[in-house]
Amino acid sequence: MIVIKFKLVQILFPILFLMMSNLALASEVVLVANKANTLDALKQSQLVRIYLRKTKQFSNGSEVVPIDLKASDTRDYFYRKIMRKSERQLKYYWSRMMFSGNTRPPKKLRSDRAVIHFVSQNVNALGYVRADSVTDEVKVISVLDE
Amino acid sequence: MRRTQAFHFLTQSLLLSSLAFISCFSVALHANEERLKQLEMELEQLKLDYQDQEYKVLVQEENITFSGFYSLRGGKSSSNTDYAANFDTVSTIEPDWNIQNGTLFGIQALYTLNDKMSSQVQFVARGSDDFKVTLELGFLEYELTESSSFRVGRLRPTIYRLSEYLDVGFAYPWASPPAEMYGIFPYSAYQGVDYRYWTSYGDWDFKINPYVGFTEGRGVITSPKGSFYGVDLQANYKDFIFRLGASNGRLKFVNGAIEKSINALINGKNLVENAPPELNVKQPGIVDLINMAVLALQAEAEIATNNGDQAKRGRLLTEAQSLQAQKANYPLLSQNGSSTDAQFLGAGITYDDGNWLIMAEASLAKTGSYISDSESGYISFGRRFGNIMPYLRWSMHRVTDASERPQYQDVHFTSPDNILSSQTKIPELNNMTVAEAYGTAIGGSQKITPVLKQAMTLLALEQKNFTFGFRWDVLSSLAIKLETQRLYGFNSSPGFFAPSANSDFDNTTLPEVDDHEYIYQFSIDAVF
Repeated sequence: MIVIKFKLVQILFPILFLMMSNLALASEVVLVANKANTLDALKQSQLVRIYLRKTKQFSNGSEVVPIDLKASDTRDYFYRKIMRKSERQLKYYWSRMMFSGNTRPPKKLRSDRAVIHFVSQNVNALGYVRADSVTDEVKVISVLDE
Repeated sequence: MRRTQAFHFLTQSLLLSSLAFISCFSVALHANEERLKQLEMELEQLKLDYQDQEYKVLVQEENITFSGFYSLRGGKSSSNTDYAANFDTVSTIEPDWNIQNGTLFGIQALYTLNDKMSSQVQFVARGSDDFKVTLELGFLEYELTESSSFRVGRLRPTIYRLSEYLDVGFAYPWASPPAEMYGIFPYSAYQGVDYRYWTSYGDWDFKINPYVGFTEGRGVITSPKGSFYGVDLQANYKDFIFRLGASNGRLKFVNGAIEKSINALINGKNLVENAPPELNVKQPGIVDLINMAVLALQAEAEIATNNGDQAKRGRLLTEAQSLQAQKANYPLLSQNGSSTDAQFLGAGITYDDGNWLIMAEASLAKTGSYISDSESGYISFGRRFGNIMPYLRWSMHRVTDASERPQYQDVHFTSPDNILSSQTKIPELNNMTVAEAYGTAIGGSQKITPVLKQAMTLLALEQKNFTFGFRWDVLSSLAIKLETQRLYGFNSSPGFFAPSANSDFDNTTLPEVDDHEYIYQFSIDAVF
């Protein structure tokens, strides 16, 4: 009996650990905007339109400059969980936009710090970073699920 | 007492020395603090400098990006004639498997000059063109604001929904776009300028895109050159995309092989171009043959006049008048090099919720020339099951101005008064006999009119297409597609099984097609 329990723990522990680490990341990726931005929240669908460059403005009509991150766990998490878009969907979409000379994907920066710096310097910027990277140079914007 | 004094002295000196020590220490401490503060400030400055440098590097790194795409495409047709899947890029599908004609590679570079300006160049090498590298895109973009920009250079026309990314197989669901709509458009890129404006109202996103430019097509049957302008309107609402496009052009159809051939069949042509007239041999056209018959009739009428046979003379000259009048049945197509107006109108809708992909488009093409006016359209349904999407598509292409186009008829000869046995010589025709001249005119016209009719049919192709296939997204950036197209509804044309040779249509016989034909295709499409 003890042996079985031990095995169960052996199996369950990594799964639990994975789930927890995922959950931990969940609370850690946040949207950040310039402090001058009057918005406090964005609808999820609006966020998708902004990052796919379908709309060039916030819901209040002011221009938006979305900032992306280079390949990273934070980026993966942002697109999978917050944008709810698969890599396949993104490739299919951007192949139409980029190779036609139509719309370019958002500017990509290498680190959270670069994103925060960019957002703090640009009134219209919108970015995403891990929550523990947030400084008082930017403000956090929440995402509303419809 | 002495002890007390000594104690006093000791405490005082201790106090003094400790005070001195403390003051010394505090002075030293103060100096250190100052230094520390200075160092901290320096460090902060260095940190900021470093951040600025790092930030510049971070942003600069993105100044130039390279990307690309390719399609390895193979096809086979059930007919024994080549199938013109695209009249512009000539990606012919042959009776035997061929993996070169549909294959292409593309690479592009995107360079950001500054916040406002960027440029993009794209090179494409097509198997159908022996992988000769051509510039498909090459423009400079100036962003007035985040939501409006100008582009100038070599652009892709935004005529129909897929026009801008026709070369990128990965970007559409099928192995090839519907030829009925996309195969007939005469140019894939143009030189010009466009303006784009994006705006949003509630959940609706709009794009307005007026453009103006000129183009030099590389079509097979026709090769338009000229200027055009138009506007493309697009609206996004949730999972829907709606678009409307209108374009108006003034196009010159240079090197119109069919036009040249038809005009030669009617007016004849010099077998050696630019040779002096006295040395040249002319291949007669239908008008030359009619003139020949008229000369024969006039020669015979002169004999009848000399013989005092007014009745016979009357009959012969009536026939001559009838033939002269029949010349009007052979209108020339517009002169080679002349310009014509052309209009394109397109409307489309796309629905993509991640599972279902539904696309439909309709278009109208009108030209003031011999090129037929037409309407095209398609509707496609796809359903994604994980990485696999089966799809069904129906498409069509139809001529809308059949009745307004020249209907070349057979020449009507009545052969009055046994003219075909007359041995009267005709001085204007090197003493050829009347019988020979009249007979040659009949025989020649019987050969020419069917070819004329065939050539006109080549300008009025029709077909319908029912396509079934699969798209398998093997990787997020690579898809494999397999499809079968069933072609039908040719309406006595050969469909798109048209001869792709661009030289003489005079000797071309139209390919024979069955009631329905099949096209089999596979493609491996990737982006990187």
